[in-house]
Amino acid sequence: MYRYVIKRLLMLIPVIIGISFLVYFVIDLAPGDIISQIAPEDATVEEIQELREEYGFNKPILIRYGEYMAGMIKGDLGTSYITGEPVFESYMKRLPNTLMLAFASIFVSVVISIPLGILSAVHQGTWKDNITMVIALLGLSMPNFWLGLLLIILFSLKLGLLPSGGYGTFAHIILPAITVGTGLTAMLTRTTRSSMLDVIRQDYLRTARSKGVPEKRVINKHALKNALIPIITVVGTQLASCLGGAIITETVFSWPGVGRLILDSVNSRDIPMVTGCIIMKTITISIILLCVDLLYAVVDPRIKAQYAGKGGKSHGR
Amino acid sequence: MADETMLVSKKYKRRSQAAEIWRRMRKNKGAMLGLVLVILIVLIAIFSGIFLDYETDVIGQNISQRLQHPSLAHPMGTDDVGRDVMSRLLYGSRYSLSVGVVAVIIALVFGVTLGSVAGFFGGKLEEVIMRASDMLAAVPSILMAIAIVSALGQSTLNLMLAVGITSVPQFVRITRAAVMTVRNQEYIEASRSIGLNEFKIIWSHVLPNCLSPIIVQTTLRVASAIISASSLSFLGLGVPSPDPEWGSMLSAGRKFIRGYSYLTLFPGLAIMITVLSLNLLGDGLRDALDPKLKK
Amino acid sequence: MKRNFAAVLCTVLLAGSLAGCGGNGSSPSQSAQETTKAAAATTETTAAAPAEMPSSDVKVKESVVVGIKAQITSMDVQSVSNVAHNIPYKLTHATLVTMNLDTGEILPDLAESWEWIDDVTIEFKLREDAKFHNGEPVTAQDVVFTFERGREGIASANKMKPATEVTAVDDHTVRMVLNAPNVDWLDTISLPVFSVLSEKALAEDPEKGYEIGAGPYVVKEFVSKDYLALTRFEDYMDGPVPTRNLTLRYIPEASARLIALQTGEIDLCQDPDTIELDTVRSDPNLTLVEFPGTTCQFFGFNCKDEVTGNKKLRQAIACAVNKQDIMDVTINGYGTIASSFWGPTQYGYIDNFETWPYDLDMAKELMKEAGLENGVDLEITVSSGARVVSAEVLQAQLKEIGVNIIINEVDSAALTSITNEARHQGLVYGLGFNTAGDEVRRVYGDGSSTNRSHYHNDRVIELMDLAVQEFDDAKRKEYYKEIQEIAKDDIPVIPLYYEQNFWGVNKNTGGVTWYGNSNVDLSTVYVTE
Repeated sequence: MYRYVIKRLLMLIPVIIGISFLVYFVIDLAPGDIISQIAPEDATVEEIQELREEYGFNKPILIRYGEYMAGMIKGDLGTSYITGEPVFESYMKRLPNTLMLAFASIFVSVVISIPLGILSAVHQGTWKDNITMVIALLGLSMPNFWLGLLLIILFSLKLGLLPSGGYGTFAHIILPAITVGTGLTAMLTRTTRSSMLDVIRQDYLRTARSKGVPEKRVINKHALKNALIPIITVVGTQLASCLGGAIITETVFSWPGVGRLILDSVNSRDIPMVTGCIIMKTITISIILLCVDLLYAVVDPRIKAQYAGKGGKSHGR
Repeated sequence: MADETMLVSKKYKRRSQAAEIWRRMRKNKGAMLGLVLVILIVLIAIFSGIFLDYETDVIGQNISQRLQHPSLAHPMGTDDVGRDVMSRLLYGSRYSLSVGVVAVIIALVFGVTLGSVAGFFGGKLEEVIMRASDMLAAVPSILMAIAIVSALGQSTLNLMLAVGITSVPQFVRITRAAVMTVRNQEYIEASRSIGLNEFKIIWSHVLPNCLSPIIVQTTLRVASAIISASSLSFLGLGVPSPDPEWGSMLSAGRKFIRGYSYLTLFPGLAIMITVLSLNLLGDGLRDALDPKLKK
Repeated sequence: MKRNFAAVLCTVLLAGSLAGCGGNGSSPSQSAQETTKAAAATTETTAAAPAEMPSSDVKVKESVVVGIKAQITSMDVQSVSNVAHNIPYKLTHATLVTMNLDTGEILPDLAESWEWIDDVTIEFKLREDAKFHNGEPVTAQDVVFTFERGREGIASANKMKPATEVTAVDDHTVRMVLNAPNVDWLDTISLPVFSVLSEKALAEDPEKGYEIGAGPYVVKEFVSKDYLALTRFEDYMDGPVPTRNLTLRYIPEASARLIALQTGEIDLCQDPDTIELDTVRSDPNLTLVEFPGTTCQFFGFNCKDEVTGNKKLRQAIACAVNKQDIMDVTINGYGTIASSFWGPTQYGYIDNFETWPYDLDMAKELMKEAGLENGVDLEITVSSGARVVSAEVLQAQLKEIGVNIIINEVDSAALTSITNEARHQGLVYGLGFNTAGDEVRRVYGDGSSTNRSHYHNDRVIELMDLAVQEFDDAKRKEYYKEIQEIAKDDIPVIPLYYEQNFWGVNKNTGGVTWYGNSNVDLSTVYVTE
């Protein structure tokens, strides 16, 4: 088990090198550089050139990348060109917000999807099933920012119930979480449904029914518990994607998360910030996926046995 | 003679398989609704080019008529420079659909090639391809797309490319998984033993048997590519003005959302209906192609 | 984000007070008047009168939140100089002198008096009761230190260059020696980038010591690109300000910002979108503050480009642009048509400056003279957002005279590089003007990065130099008038319109000085209960 964890973590290293190079290179390729953002308005063209040299932009990209990575090996993710703050510090300041939004969204998605999934599995093939699946798909079919704007208009402006943006209290997180969460329901509902369908006809459920256990209990207790593994997988991957994909929602709701930090930094060509944040993000995502895999072991003893036996084969991806 | 019989029986078998899938599809009301809508939208995209003139109907401005609420003359109102929203919306289907479709074709070509090579040959090659694909997948797709559009410059083609590239990893993974299930089948062994070229085996024996997940994924990815493109438009990185892509229309209308909500409502609905139909169709196809799921 | 950088770039720089003229009003002046009327009919038009204080018997809210449209990236006053940062810096720091940004009048701040010893030497007498947030008195040594540190600062280095020598004569007297006579020096040092820093604070905390200033508010918490929370400085030299806690919160989307104002989450909302102004007007709890702005939106050409280097083509286009339509579409008519690329409060502005008329026949004639009667392709580089709409309207308008506009939408980082390197043909952009006549150097001076047209005219340069050294008012104005006439003929830039400034505020808000160049002074803001 430990060997498995260590191996997974070691596998991160080449991935980080690859990603950081990819990101560094792509941003560098973009026209314009950080100098145009930090140079004062009254700078002459020559002064801009000087600044560029000062920041090392006249060196070839491979050398700059090398220097950046040399710093990273020492644990230094670099310093933002724009704010002058260490990248790690900026990232950690934003991470709690992103995590909060991610968990809240997953919560919304779980609350909607699991009942819908069960409903449609129990009533498989009926109109209830069809309607449920369409509802689940709706969230996926709406552009995020449109849904966000509609929610703001309805709940903040017309009804005056919830704040339109910002953060700090519980009320602030509701609308962004609904916006992100509904986008996730389709996948989770579908998974719940098919997973429930697999389980629902198993012999032990028939046994339970024949013993006179009420149908509701059969479904909620026995069936759901056994259908849980695929659901956890999906929740885990969604959590991972939430950590990267909420840029749009963060913009609409002025939610100061990591996504917007990265977006801003791409726009201002703040290369250390973008690269550093993406590296941190990759690490965070990998750790979450690893946790999900480990969670299987808790839920399903058979998988635990497998880890113990082989200590190797990657799961869950 | 023997060859011919085989061919006939193969053809016959295929047709019956298609017929079976169609039969299952027809039973799925959602999928049929999706199919009908998708066909309708494609027809709109084709015919809007005939009935609408780009210069006058689509980008022709009439500032004295700006921001007119929906009326008989303009069933969906006019936008901030007095263009008819309905004409733009109908014509915009061409942009939105082509962005989705072309992006997915790009992803399909790269993803399926790499995925089948990885799945079929295995070993070091597989390791390299899969790690590269993981890397690409680890960068959030919208961010990757933003970076690519920023780097290459804003144009419709670059938008397609950006959305396409970010969809590659999914195709790689799905194709690889599908290929791995067939690669050890006896008929593959058989074609190997008669000395067929390996790429030929992939192309004519392995891939045809992996089509169902790829088809399903393609349908679903077109849907999500349309959403991705509209998100990029929201961030100002979409189809350049004044072309009426739905995402750009939606994004341009957002500052009017309070007093002129029709400017965001109609393009939003257009995206929603299109994406929903594609998703319904994709789901239906998935169920029809893989009857095990439906049981 | 984009909008921020736009704001950064169309911003304040030097502020001064000299002479000028104005004028390039092509479109029907009738409609221009209508617009002005429409603007005047709206709610409250506040000039930059000295901010009044709440009467003592009224209770004011302890905490006030301001929704701002641009990010604050750094609280180091010497690292950035633009509107987005001037507003917060003005709250936390103090400068030697300040200026009424609308009239150009210089007012004492940390310096209670000053005296020119000779043409290039000036002495400031500091207030003895001024303290930094860390309790230290503000001394001449701190001013010297500020200049020493500022020579390395990205935003300050250039601006501090003219002061070749800054010395402390005694604890409360500072002497500056300039490299040349400079009429605008006091204007220059009123900028927040010249805020006096505490030497002790930076010695104790090199990382964050720059947050310590002598302004009315102390930094409580600063999260870059998100919010800035301030508490009032009880020992502020002019006595504590009315509001105890002031927060500047970054809300990028204009509609979200306005909704936040309506729901009471914020008390002041910067730049509500012009399409939503009626919402503010009709809300009984809100007041719409309106004042003329000095930011000019323009359509500029690259004079170094093969196509747009053709003066006749530029003149033809100037005759074919209907500015009113562009203004109506982009800001719903809330602005004033610009006839000269010159700030309306800038020294030397000319009312009713005569420029190219909106005349398509004349435009077509000029196209012929340009040798382009068969039409020409022209690429407009524009950063995404509102200006894209201007480009779209220009595209439609110029089609009439056979100029086929290709819109090249890029982000602002790319736009800056492209224009710096003169790789563009046309661009739509904005520029904020201040009161100094010498502002013209930013626009037409060689090597200035805001001379986005890469325009060069020997006579214009000569006139600029003559004007800045001229003490005779009439002569100086004459020079600036000639510059504007040359620029009209050469037309490197077609000025479109000046934007009207708007703030939506809680109806009980007071104490704000609304400056036309957007450097709104919030230091004494309060909201009564």
